[in-house]
Amino acid sequence: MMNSIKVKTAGLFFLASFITLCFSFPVFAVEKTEEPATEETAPKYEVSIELGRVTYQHYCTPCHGVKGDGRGFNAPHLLVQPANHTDAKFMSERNDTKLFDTINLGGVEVAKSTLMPPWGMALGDERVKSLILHLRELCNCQAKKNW
Amino acid sequence: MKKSMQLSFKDTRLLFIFSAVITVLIAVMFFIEFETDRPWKGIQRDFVELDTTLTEAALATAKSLPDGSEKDEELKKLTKRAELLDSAMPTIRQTWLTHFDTADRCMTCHLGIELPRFAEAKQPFTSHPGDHIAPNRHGTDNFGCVICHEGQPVGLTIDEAHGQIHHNWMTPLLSGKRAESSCEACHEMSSAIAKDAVMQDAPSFSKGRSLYLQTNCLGCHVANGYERDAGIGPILTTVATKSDATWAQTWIKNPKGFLANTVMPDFELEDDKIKAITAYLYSLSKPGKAERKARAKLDDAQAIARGEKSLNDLGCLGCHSVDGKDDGFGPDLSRVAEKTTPEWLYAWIEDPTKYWPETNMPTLRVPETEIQDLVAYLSSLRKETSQTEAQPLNDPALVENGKKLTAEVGCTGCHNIDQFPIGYNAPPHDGIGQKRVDELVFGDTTIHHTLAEWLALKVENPRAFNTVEIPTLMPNFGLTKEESEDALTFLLSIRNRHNIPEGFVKPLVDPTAASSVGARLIEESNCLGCHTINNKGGTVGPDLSFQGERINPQWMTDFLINPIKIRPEGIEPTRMPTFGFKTEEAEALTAYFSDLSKVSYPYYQAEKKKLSGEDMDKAWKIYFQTFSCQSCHAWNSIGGVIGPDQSDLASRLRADWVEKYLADPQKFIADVQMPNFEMYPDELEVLTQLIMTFNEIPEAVWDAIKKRWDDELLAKQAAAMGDE
Repeated sequence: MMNSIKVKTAGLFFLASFITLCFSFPVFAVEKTEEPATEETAPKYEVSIELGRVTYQHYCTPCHGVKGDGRGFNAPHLLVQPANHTDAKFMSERNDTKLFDTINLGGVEVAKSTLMPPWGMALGDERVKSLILHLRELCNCQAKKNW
Repeated sequence: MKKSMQLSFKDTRLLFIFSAVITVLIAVMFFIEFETDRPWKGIQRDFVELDTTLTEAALATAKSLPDGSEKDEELKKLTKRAELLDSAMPTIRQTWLTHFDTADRCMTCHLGIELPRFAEAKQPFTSHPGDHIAPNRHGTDNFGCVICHEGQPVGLTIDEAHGQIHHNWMTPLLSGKRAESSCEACHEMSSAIAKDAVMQDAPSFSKGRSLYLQTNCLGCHVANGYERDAGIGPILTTVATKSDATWAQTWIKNPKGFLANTVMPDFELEDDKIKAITAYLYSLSKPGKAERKARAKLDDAQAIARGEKSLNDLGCLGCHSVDGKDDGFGPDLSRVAEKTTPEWLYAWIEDPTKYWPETNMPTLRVPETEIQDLVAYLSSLRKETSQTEAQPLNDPALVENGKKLTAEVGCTGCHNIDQFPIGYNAPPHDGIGQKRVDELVFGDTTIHHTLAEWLALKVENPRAFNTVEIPTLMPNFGLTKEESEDALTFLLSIRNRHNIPEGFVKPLVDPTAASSVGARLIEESNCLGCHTINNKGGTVGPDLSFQGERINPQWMTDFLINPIKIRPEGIEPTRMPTFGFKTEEAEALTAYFSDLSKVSYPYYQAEKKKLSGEDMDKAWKIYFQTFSCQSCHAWNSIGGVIGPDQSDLASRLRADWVEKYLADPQKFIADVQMPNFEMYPDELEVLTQLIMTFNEIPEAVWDAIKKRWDDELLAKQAAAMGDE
């Protein structure tokens, strides 16, 4: 009696390990269709400072102002004032990764106000990176240390 | 007895010659019978020969196929076809079209018409292009060929069957794109809403129809099913306030010399007649006086630059061009200052309907300074500055003669002139597609005597059939060869409908439906000059393809009648001009947009769901904190000024669309300044339900909720500042 239970347990163990082994093999586990799908969504834009300028004028100026000084036409209506992008001291304290996160995921991600919305999904990486190039142009500064 | 039975040598020879002659005669008769009098037999023999070669080639390819059931099937099919071809006997192929009470023998010669393998073959074996004769569309069993292509369906020779040249058959063959003129008999295709479908299946008909309406043929000719326009050309009663008489004369002499694509045709008038007509028209009104308001900013470089920008921003270029190409819906503006005065331009931009109540030009609702800028810019485009002194035209006899001529040559077909009723009585177009050849005058021309040939030449050169006895007054519209052919297709389609059996009349759309009227208005108002519908049109205004599912129908109707600003300030102010739509017109347009989005019209009732207390709190948190909607949107004018005010969103937008939009704004409006917040479905649901009830929230309640979240935001901010 004991013997047969042992055999059963051993059998179950081997079966379970076989299945696990199967899925650990890339041949079984990887969904092949995923890779070409990402290739299809080729970037629509190329990162450039010119693209940054255009994007900034269209999406950012209502709050951050045409000159980037934080005095957009919507600024008086906000509880927390938008950042002044021409402030070299303020901007040089933020490295490109932090700027990317702020634009991409919104103010809340960098422990700032929720009034700055996440733009990542709407703009896409290329335009966000271009915006950073333009921001550096606006403040005429570089990050003090990158990372 | 024996002797008399015996034939002499002479007799035998005679008999031999006689029988030989008979044999040859029979052979010749047989030959004639087979080869000439029954040409279809020869054609069928050629067909068998051609199909045999095709079948052999197909067999060879099939043999090289990989083994399998597919190969076997193919081989079996082809072998059977080869056997059939071997034993083929010449036969007349006749279809009896039960519904139309007609026999159709066309396929006696057009044997490959239903066989795709003859697509490359030469006529008469070519297969039919497109899928028009597919069994589910116009299968040959029901329609034969004659129903669309006309001709004489029992004829068995080319001349008899096609009846195009020698036989003058009453309904000669309609080949190629001329066959499109038959579609109209069963399918109501004239209404604009069917345009896309018609454009695909009957492009020549569709273009011809547009041309027919655009050149206002209806101004002079009446046609069944079409209404005469209330004046397609500008009103001429007050023309003296617009242009000077010298310009008017050069214009009448050669309109296309001034505006390359103007609808105004060339009347081929002599100079003295032009002078008389001008004298009459200018006796009706007096030139206007110079006004400071209109001339204030002329030659001011800054104003000119601002005017150029305005012209772009306002969407003027949706209809007009300024590069002299004159390829727009409205006239080219590069020479507009040569024909008119700054005063007239100012008044026209301010409110075009004051000068010409029926104009398609909308009222732009722009302030005085912007009009001045526009006038300055348009005046700066003027190239010719020298103007000859106008000759005196106030001779009463000349004026009287001009009045007579004005009515005679047909100016009133398009223009409103003083007391004259609009319209001109040229021969009507009712049933012109069935006109009999013996009713036509061919003059000195040498074209084949068929209706189609006559119409083709008439459209291209209206005075081609003129003789001394029978002169024509029809002006020349300067159509290209291609345009003439399209116009011909359309004209051939104007037939008196009868003999169409029941069940065969299938209108593509209901022509009286409100949405059809809307579609016509879309065309007439040139909405696509500024807006896009289904990837076609301009980009000045928003995409209209999905407005039916987006906008509350009542709001849309009100907006079309009286466009209002939606966004408070800053971004893209609403510059939609006022088109002066009547209520029923605006409703028809709304119906059209509803149709486009496949939503019901006119009934729309927003689904109102009550949020539970818990969901309500969640929704408010999403609104004020998670996504901070208030930073861009105002409620009763309190809050951000980037997006539209949300206090009465429910009256403007449909709730189901709002939910779709919030999930991915860029999907609908590519460059909208609304971020994609990647909301979860439950967030989307409660947020949508909350904002759709914003019109029901008392101000005190709103203020209290807003204060609570504002305080929290400020506290968090203070904490964050402390951390830094």
